[in-house]
Amino acid sequence: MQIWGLLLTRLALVILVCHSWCFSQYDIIENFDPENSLPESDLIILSTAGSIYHNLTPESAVLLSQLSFLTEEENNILDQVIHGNTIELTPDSRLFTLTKSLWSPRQDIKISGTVFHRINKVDDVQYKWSGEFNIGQFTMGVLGERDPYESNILDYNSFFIRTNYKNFDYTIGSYQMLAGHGLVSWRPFPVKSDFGTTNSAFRQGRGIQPFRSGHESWAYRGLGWNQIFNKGQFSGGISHRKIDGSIVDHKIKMSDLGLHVSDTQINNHGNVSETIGIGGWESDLRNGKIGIIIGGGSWYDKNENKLINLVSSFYGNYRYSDLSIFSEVAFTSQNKKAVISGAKLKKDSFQYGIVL
Amino acid sequence: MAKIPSLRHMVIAIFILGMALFSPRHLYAAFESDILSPLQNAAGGFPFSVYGNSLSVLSDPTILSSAQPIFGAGGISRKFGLKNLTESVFVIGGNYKDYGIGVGVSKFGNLAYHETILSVSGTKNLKEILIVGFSFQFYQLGILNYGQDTSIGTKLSARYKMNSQFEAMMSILNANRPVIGQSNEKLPQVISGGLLMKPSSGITGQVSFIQDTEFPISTRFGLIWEPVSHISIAIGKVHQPNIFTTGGMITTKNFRIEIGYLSYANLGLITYQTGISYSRMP
Repeated sequence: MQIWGLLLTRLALVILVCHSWCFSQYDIIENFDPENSLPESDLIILSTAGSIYHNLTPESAVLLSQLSFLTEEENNILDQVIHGNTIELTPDSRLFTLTKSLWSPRQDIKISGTVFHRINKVDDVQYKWSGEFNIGQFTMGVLGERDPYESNILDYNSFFIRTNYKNFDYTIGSYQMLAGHGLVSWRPFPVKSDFGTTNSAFRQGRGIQPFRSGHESWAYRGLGWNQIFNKGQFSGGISHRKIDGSIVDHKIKMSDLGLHVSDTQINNHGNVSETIGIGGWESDLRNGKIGIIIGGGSWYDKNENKLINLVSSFYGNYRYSDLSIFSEVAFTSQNKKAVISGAKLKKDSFQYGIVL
Repeated sequence: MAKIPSLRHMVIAIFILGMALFSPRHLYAAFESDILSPLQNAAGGFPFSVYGNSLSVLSDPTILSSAQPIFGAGGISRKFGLKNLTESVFVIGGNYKDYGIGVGVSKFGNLAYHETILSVSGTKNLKEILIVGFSFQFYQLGILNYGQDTSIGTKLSARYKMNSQFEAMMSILNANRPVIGQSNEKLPQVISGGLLMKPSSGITGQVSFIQDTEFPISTRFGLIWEPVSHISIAIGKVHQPNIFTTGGMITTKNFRIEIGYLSYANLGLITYQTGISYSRMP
């Protein structure tokens, strides 16, 4: 019995608190003549007022004053609004409920961002447009570029949308997968070890990142995502894009100049179709990290030369006091191997690094 | 039966069109002529609209957001005084709250050759600071005894109001790479940008550039001065091709009579462009 009594008391309290929200619509209708249906003209007036006005103004008051069910007091209030007087409607009045139901507070979408338009005069003129906008939980970026003497106004363009959902971090459009220490996926995809790789070797990849640069061959195009788990992080991406270059003797000769002016450059523009799928797992250890990357790709050019390659790599780093060592080993399905190892000693302002 | 222009008249018109309107070093193709009002041409051929000059909506729709709720404007001009080079422009539009919309038609040519552009534009005013405009351009090219073709292009425009005296503008025409005709002739892709300056209420200055991606950049500057009410005079300079410009505008209530006078320094040729417009803009 005590439980039922408490339940009824709580129900009564809830009704007391919420009655103005629950029954406000009925409050308007209860003053109607129940013998008469609501005239169609009133429905049209309410619909029109809700569509073309956003609050109670002299113009909207003129329209509302034509409603058939208004009392004389309510018409007097609207007359005062029509004549420009500022009226504070009492919260429990019918007009207050009516205006509230017609014009709920607008929630403007907040957009913030930056836009750059760069013009670089050399022999001809180079143009670059870039912008990044935050719309709620979405980040959107666009980029367009026309190099000197190129005939297409947006010879290179890219676009990305990035958003977070729970533990997922999605990027749609142009993105990079910065994985491991750069042997498999950092800038270009093929396995290699050169100064470009060693420059980034000391850094650890951070997974999928939106691509904001005007470099025309460094970005994947498709879907990439990062997902955080209890024991590590997964990063994956699928991409399809056209790159400049050709396939010769089962090797990709990629041109990353990004200029399309001469006949050769124009013929090589988007000559190779690339499709890539790649995934990586990374776990934190007590004094370092360990990870694995597996990926596959296919490349076709317009001369129907094709190349398929699978890659995998293992990497890790270990930190002991001021010394940190790292290594990455990569293998491909074409029996190519690459290894990069190094150590970095950092003490106050002194830093020394070796990359093998 | 339609009257066909005489062959001699046609040859003269085509000769002047090819030599005088465009740079002699390049062969231009369809839709290469900028659609500018006489006042825009008089002040250095700037590619942006200014308040009160409704005809400039076709070249830069961002002014739609400053127009009265509904307006209409029309103009006609004969380049070099030749009937065959008649260009007519008509535009209507309006705005509601922060949005603007406009529809314009431009026609150039004669019975034997004509270019028509139908432009549908929309603008959005963002916090009175940035106005973004977007247009669909419907191109129609007709050549007597050869037939006609159509194509669809786009135009993106933006106007940034730095303060009460400076406005920066930028536009990109035909980023979607439209082509026309059996030979898939590329329609012009044009980048333009510039600054509008209003140091005082009666003076408007401009520095701008236009670049068709197939041709060298063209830089422009000019000045519009309203010494007395309802009368404006303008001067300007176009580099590439080398043109000195002058002209003006007389306003009587809602009517505007415009004249642009263009002197092609390298060619030694002079032409003028006239126009009349009616609009409800204040």
